[in-house]
Amino acid sequence: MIDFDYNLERDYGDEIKHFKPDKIPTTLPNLVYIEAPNSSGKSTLLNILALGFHGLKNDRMNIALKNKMSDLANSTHQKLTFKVNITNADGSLELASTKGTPEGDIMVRETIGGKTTLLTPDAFHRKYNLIYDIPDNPTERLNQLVNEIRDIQKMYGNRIGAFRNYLTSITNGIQQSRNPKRLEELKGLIEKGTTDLQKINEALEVDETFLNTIEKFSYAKMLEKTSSDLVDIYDQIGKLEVKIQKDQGKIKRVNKRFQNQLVKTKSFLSEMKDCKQQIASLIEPYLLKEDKHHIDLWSRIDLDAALEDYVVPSSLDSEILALKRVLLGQYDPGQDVKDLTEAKVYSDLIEFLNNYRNSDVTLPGDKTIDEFIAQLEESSKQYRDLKIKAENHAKVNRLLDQLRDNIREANEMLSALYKLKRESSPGEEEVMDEEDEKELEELNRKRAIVEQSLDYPRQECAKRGVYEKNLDEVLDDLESIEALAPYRVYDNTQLQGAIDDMRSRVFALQREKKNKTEAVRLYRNELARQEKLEPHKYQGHLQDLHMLVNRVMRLEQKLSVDFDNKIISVIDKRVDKKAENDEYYEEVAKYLGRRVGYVRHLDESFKVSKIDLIRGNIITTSGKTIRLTDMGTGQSQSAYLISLLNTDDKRKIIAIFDEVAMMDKLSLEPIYNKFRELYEQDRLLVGIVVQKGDSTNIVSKLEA
Amino acid sequence: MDEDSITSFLDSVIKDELERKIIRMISEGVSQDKILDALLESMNEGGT
Repeated sequence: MIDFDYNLERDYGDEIKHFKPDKIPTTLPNLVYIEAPNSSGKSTLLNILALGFHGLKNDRMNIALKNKMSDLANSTHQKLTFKVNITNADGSLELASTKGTPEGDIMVRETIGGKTTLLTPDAFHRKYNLIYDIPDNPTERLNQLVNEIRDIQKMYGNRIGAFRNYLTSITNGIQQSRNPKRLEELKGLIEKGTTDLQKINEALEVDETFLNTIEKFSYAKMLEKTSSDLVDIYDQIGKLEVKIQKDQGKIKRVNKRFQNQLVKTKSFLSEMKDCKQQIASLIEPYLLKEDKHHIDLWSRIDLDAALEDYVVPSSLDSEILALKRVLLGQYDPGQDVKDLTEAKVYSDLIEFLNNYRNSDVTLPGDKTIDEFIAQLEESSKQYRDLKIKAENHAKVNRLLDQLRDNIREANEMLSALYKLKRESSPGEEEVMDEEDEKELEELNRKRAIVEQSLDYPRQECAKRGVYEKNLDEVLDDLESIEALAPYRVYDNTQLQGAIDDMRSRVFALQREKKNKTEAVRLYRNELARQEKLEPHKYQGHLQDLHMLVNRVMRLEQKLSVDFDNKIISVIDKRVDKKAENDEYYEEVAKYLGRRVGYVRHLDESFKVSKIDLIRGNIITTSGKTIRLTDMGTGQSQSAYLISLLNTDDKRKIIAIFDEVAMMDKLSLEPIYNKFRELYEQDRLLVGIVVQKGDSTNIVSKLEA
Repeated sequence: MDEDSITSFLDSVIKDELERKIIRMISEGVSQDKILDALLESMNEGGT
């Protein structure tokens, strides 16, 4: 039942008129057909019904009707009050809308089972589906249904976008929360880092101690060698000064040939002295204690005496042979042939590969040439001591052989010199003999250089508590250290190389220690921060959440972009031929078919299967294709109005259709049938159809 | 607007079960935290 009453006061300037429902009954059945002449108040009634049930707050309302409602409610020349009561068939539901004063708000109350609730516009539209429409241009209005799809798709797309943001905020929240897995990981990293650091510290301590020892050894050896060289020079200077002193006052003249031969022979003997000195410095580590006296014998062989005696001291040859015997007995390189061969292979490979350092060649095992060379150099280090020992052994042997050969040549030169001295004849060109002075000058120059070169080892030794006075004692101590044994055969240059290697190793360890300490510090900081955090509710779902974000993003894209483009192409009727078979378009057509349900055409009723707006066809379940343009206006209006009623919506419907003048009885009948069907299902509360007529005619449509 | 009819329409054009589930819950106005719980449960069951 529909009960209504209203009072509309309209100001015409010269008079004010009051309008009341005096031509249409104020009590109407829920399903009703109203026919009445113009100015009978039928449109006012419909506008009040729609306005009373928050029609102005309905976004999809026909705009022309909305304007009429707004005019009724808000015009300054009109004042409206009304009340409308609707009850359903069994009286279990009552909807009441009132506007008590012209300025007052519209109040809608719902009473169910005696309980009354005030409904706000939003609450009302969530529960009731108010349909107020005029079926003008119905074919075109089918597009409105498609627009609805677009609006809902976009709305869902936006909601899904908001849901994606929510998921992202959750994943961010998890990352800011306590992560038990990371906690365990950090504890493991700190434990491993601490163990590694301990090992590095131990290795560093050993290497730093050894570096200090080998540096001390090297500088002490350097000081010993330089001091010894200086003593030798002073000794030679002393002898030469005595000789010059002895010859003072005598004018020495010698023949020119003798003089030339003397210069040549002295130069040769000087080279022999260098060779002899080199042997002395290299051979010592190869001698056992019982053979050490050879060093003394060796140093006492005076090659300068050869210029007095015109023959090289025979002790040189016999000592060379003695030293060679000793060397042979002390070390046989053959015993290390395997290791030495390996060392040679490494060194030959390194030398060969060095030629290709700049190439892009990658070797088997995915190594670059640089990486492979570095690996070979690391491996070859283990043979360094052995290699140097063998090399120096070979070198001293070679020098001894060379010196022995030199003896023969020197004796020949000395013999020639002696001969020239004796063959000197009167009248032969003579020159001043100033060789001794020149040699003294040369020796003094050498002495200055050696004295200067003594400063560096002296300073370095002083830093380590080593001085000339305790040098022998320190060296004895150092040489007794087992770890230094391999270095005893090293010369100064070789020792410097070993020190450089050790320094690099120490620097590398120091760098590693620094990096590891920093890493452990950062792990500890992160652990402390983690431990202060609370665990997140979704901690264990992080992976699922990442996956979900991606899937939600895909769905958002589908609704907001892919489907939106498709529905726009349906609205614009410009679907690409190739895409016409897309399932989406097929489903849109089926959806429209479901919404319209039945159509009348040429006096027959057809169940609609699909409405293809792109091709402009209605396809019936019986297989008939009806062109939309071939549909009569009344039939199209009927199809459109039924589409508004055919919904899956669970809300109760209040349907008001005005100005259906173009529709004949046959076209209206499906609407009444639909009204009754929905009313019996308790889904329709009100169904009103209004059209203009010459007289007032109210027909209940509750019964067929 | 007939949201329910359009939700049914979307159900027919979306083939992925998880996506359908999201659309259904979004259309029913289910809160975001409840949607998340339902989806995680469904993922853990291996249903989607």
